[in-house]
Amino acid sequence: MKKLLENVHIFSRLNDDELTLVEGICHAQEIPAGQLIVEQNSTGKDVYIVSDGSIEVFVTVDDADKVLVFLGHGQLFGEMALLDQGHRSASGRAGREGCNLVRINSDDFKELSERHPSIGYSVMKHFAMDLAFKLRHMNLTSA
Amino acid sequence: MTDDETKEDTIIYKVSYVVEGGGHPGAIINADHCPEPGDKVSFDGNNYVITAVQELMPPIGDFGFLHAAVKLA
Repeated sequence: MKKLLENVHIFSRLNDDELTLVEGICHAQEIPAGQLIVEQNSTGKDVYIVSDGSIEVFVTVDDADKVLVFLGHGQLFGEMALLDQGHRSASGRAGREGCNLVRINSDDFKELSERHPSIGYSVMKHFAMDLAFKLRHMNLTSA
Repeated sequence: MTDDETKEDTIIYKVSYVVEGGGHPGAIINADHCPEPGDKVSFDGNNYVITAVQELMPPIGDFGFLHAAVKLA
């Protein structure tokens, strides 16, 4: 699992000891194709990292689903749970090939960051850039 | 190593794949090598061929940030 974490941008500047600590709050999950992982407007404190396969991110408007993006290896999903306690802004389900995920509870991460501020600082420093990259992608697909 | 330095042999590429013609949400996937035009990539249950690649953001640390245009293979 540590190898995956090294390939996730927000963890990319953590040293080996710090990655081991993060690994300690990670939980692997295997999700079959099409299974809902999180539901729009629900509450949840889990952040997901795609290990293999993909997540289809979508919003439901007037009973119709609109896919926003497919997230593959190394991508974060549900990451706003790290920032606020708001409802999920989008739903996510496993792609056609299913997916393997790593789940991190945001409370566990906040506790880890309080005990090891260097981890929290490094992750949050890269977090904004990850969101910016997603916004750039959305702008490109909307053009 | 500072945030501004990179190691060619260990760079991970965060790639924004955009399907030509619009109407598709595209995908974001990390790659362990720099994608090039002609390379194949799969997402959404389909196979795509890369037609163009450009830098989306300057590289930071061991990460490169790219945009790749693709079309159905």
